[in-house]
Formats: sequence, structure tokens, C-alpha cells
Amino acid sequence: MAVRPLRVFIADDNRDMVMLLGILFRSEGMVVRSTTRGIEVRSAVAEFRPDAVLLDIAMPDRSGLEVALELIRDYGERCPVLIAITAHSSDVARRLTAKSGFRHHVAKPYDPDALLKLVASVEPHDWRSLSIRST
Amino acid sequence: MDLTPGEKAVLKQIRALYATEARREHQLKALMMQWPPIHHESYQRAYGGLLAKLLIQDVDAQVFRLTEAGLSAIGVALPKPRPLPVKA
Repeated sequence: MAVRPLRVFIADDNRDMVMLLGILFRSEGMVVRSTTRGIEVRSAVAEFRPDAVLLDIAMPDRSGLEVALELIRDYGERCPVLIAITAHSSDVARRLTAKSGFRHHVAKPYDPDALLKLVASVEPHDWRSLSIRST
Repeated sequence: MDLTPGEKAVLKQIRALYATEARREHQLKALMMQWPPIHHESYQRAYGGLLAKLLIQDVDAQVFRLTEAGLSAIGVALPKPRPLPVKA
């Protein structure tokens, strides 16, 4: 059976970053969707059904932590893999992203190859028979 | 209580911290990591507004504490004190 391409969702208020990451992941055959607004992530994820969600923590309209908590509330243990992108690498920051439901914490500046390797290691998410919890 | 859009945004970020750890005291660093660098001053001002409105208090330079009003503002219901037994 053919393996389907990974689906990656990127949320970062920095348009250049979104564009660069999009180019990077598409060059490896991944399907990418993105937004620069934290407030749009929840509905976009429900529609796009990604395997991995990269969230910038410091977005002006809604922080990545808030968004992660919403996604965890929606999908529980069946949440797609959440990857935090942040300028902070302290223990406090890492503990906080882990407690917010992020599976991985990537501190800026990051090595694009290492990020690509990390995303490529994500298992395809099984979205079948998954219903979103109503809030 | 009237809050500015910035104060509401910071309060929501504090709510996210409370959702990860249900305690009153939090590291300022954990809050500030949610602030985009280019808007840092606006968020700093909004944080000051929450201090002035007594929704949070500075514990020290690194830790802040949610007041009862702050807990209520983020939607945390405090247990009501039990009434004292009435003496006959």
C-alpha cells in the first residue's frame, strides 16, 4: 500500500517564516497548509486534518499555548502531533509546552534540516472515526 | 470590570498558564514567552494594567500571583467559605 504524503499545518505570524517552512516541507513531498493567525488554527486543523501542527508560541492574536490547549480539548489523545516553535529554550519554557500538550519543542534559531527530520518522523495520523468534542 | 483589548489578551494567556498548572503563582517568563517580540512593549503595558487593576500581583521579579479577582476574571470559581455554625 502506498504511503500517503505527510500533511503539515504551520501557524506563525511571521509570513516569511511560514513561506520558508512551506517551501522546505513541500520540497520533501509533504502537503502544507498555513496561517499567520492563531485564531484560525482550530477550524483550519478540523478541515485540513494534518499529521503535524507547527505552532509559533508568540502570535499576537492568540498564543500557541492557547491554541494547543484548544486542540487538546478538541481531540484529546487523538490530537495530531503538536510542535512548538519558540525563541525560548529555558527549562520553564520546555516544561510549559510539554504540559500544554506539545510533543516537541523547537527553539529558534533552529536547524531547518533537523526540523525537517523531526517532522518527517511523525507517524501519519489516523483521522478516521475521529469526532471533534463539542465545546 | 473594563479591560483594554491588550489586558484581555494577556489575561487569556494567563488563563492558558492556569490551564496547564492550576495554581495562582506563575513564572513571568512563562507568560512573556507568549508575547511576540515586536509587540513586547504593548503586552508589557497590558501586564501593568492588570497589576493596576489588582487582577495580578508581583511576588518578585520573576513570579506573579493571580488575585481572587484575577481568578474570577479568568473564569475560575472559588469555593465559597463555609458558613460558621450558628450557636444556639
